[in-house]
Amino acid sequence: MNCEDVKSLFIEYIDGMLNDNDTLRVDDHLSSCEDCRAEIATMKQVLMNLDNVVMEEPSDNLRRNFDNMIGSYSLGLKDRETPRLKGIADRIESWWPKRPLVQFMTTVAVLVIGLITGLSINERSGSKKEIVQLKTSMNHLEKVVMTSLLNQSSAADRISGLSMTGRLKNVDRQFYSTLLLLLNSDPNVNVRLAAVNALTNFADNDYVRHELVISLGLQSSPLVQVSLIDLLASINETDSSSTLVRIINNPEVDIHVKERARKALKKFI
Amino acid sequence: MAQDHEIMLSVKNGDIQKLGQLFDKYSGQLYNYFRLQTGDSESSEDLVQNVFYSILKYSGTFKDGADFRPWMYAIARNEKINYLKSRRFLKREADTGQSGDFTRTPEADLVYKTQVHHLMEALEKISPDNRELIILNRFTGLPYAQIAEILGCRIGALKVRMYRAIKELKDQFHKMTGDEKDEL
Repeated sequence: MNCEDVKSLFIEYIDGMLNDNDTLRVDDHLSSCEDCRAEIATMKQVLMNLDNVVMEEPSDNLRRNFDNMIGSYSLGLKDRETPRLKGIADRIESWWPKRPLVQFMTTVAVLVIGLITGLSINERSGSKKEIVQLKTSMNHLEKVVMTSLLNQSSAADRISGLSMTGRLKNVDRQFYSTLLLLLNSDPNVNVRLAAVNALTNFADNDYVRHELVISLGLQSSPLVQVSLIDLLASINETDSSSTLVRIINNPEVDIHVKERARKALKKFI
Repeated sequence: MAQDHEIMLSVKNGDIQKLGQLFDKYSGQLYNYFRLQTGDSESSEDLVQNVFYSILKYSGTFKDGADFRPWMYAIARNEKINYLKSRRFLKREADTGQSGDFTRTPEADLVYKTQVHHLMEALEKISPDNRELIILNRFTGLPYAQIAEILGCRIGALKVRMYRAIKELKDQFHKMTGDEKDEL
C-alpha cells in the first residue's frame, strides 16, 4: 500500500470505521512511513477540533414561521379538498334508511314536503326582497368577521382571515386600508404574501392600485416584491414603471426580483 | 418511536402536522449546514423554512422505503446552490471589492481566539465544495454512502475528496495562524 492509497483511508481510520483488514494495512504502512505518521497526527487533531465545535441554535422565529407555514398549508389543503362537503354527504348517507319500503316512503314524504314548500314560497310576494335583505346582512356580518380575523394575534388566523376576503363585495376604503396595513407592516412574510393575494381581488379599485405601487417601494422581502410585481404587471399598472426602474438599479435587490421587474417593465413598454 | 421514513410517509398521506417531528429533529442541523456555508444566520433560517416547504410540496415524490435524511439534504443542497447563485450575482453587481462573505466586527474577532474558532475561520476560507463535504461528514452524521448519494459520486471518490478537504482545512488553518508546527 503506497502513501496515496493509505491517505484515502485516514479519516475512516481515525473515526474507527475501517474493517480489521484495512486497519491492519494502515497500521503496517504507518509503522514504516514517518511522513504519513505526521500527517495522520495533524489530521486527527483537526477532526477532533471539528467534532468539538458547538453548533449554533436557530432563533425562536424559525419554529414560529414553521408553525405558520403548516397552518397556511393546511388551509390551502382544506380549500382544495373541501372535506366539509364530503362530511355532509357521509352524514346524510348514514341517516338514509336501509329497508327498501322505508326508503320509498321517505322519498314520497320528501317529495310532498318539497312541493308544498315550493308553492308556499311562490305565493309570498315579498320573498325576493327578503332574500336580498338577508344577503346584504350576511355581507355585513362577513365584514365584521373579516375585520375581527384581521386583528388576530396569530399569523395563521390572519392568513385565514385574508383568504376569506375574496368573498366580500362593496367593501369600503377602511377595509382596503386594513389589508394594506397588513401588506406594509405585518412582521410575518406569509401574512404579507396572503395580503397581496387578498388585494388581487380588489385591484380594479384606483385607491388600491395606487397604494400597491407605493407598497412595492416599501417591501424588502424578495417573495413579497415578486408577488407585487406580478400583480402590478397582470393589471397593467403603468404607474409602477418608475418604482420598477429603481428596483432594477438597486444593487441590494435580489436578482430574481430584478428579473421579474425587467419582465414587467417590458410588458409596459 | 416512529422512524423518519414512517413519519414522512404519514406526511405524504396528508398528516402534515407530523412534519413538526422531523422539523424538531433536523431544523437545527440544517440551520448550521446553511449557516456555515452562507455566513448569514437570517438567510439560513429562511433556507431551512424553504426546505420544509419543499418537503411538503414534493412529499408526493418521497418513495416508500427511502431514507429521509439524504432526500432532505438533496433538497437543502438545491436551496443552497440557488441561494449562492443569487448572492454571487449580487456581489458582482455591487462590486464592493471585498472578498469572502464572513466579515466580523473587531469585537467579535477578539472572541475568535481558541483553536476551534480558528478552525471555523479556516473552514470559511476553504473552497465551497470542500466546506460542504466537511459539514456533511462531520456535522450531520450522515454515512459515506448517503453523502455520496447526495453529491452524486462514488464512495471511493468521495473518500479521496474527503481526505483532500480535511487537508485543505488543515493547511488553511496553519496559513491563518502562521504556525506550521504547533497549535494543531
